Amino acid sequence: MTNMDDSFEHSLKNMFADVETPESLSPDNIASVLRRLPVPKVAFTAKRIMSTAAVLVLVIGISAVSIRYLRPYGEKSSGAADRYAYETAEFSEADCRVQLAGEGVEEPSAAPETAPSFDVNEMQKEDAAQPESPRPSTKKGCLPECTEDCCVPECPNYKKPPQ
Amino acid sequence: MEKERLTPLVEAAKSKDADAFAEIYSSYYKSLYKSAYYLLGNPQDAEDTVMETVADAFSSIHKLRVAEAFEGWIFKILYNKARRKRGTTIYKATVELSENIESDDKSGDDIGDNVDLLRALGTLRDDERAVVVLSICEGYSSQDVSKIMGVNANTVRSKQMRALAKLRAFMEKE
Repeated sequence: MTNMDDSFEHSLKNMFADVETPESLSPDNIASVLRRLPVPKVAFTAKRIMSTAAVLVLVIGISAVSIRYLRPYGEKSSGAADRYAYETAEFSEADCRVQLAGEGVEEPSAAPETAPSFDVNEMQKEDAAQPESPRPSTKKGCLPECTEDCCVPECPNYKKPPQ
Repeated sequence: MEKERLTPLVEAAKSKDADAFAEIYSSYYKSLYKSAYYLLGNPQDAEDTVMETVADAFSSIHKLRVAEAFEGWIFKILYNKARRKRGTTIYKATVELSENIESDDKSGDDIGDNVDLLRALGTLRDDERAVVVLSICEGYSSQDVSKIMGVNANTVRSKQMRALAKLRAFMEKE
């Protein structure tokens, strides 16, 4: 800054003359005004309660979201976490056997070496021996008690239903 | 006001002790009123602004963490109140108001006694006027002014240079 600027600033500072302060702003008067000011205790309390409630809601919300979405990755786990752990774990056959035995489930007996045999002819004979039960008709216009054969008179296979 | 004296008074004022607050205020009220007067340009608005500032400061002094920051803090409240008031009023620089000014030293003034400072300040923008009032009239550093106005210190310096150039041009023309 040049000397000219400095002298201008100095001149300007001198021009800012003191101003007579009004009596209403005297410290004594201000003290009496401040004594009469109401203390907003109720508003302050209400404000505090509201801010505390807002913080609580925020904390509960964050906890709920974290439990819902982040729990499977936590140490203690819910059902979802158990499932996640089970799905991602690697088990050997020996582990499974030990676990089953530990839970009181009987170890499966040795599997049969040969599969059971089926005689096709014998099965066909059994089917033929059983009388075929009449199946309900699905044709349009047929009575519910009609069988597969239609019981509408117009039908070529019309048979009168039993009374 | 010294820190040793200020700290217990601020603590008492936080407990809504009006006398303690008034004692702190007694150290600053002339500066507060003078700043408000030159910021707003008329005594009525200045008086109202200082009164509102005091009421606000007293009700919210519990937010003041460091007692030594009281001066800057109350000037910041004053500046914000004056800025809001400036939005609704017009800078009134009249000869009548100039008569209320008690000039203490104009003998070495090389600019001229007839120049109306208020009219000159009226040519500045609000923020430029605030910088001039706080730095030249009250003698705050650009760092302190930056804290009061909530702007960068470099911005304060550039505003001050621009404002001084405008004032000089106005006064030389007059």
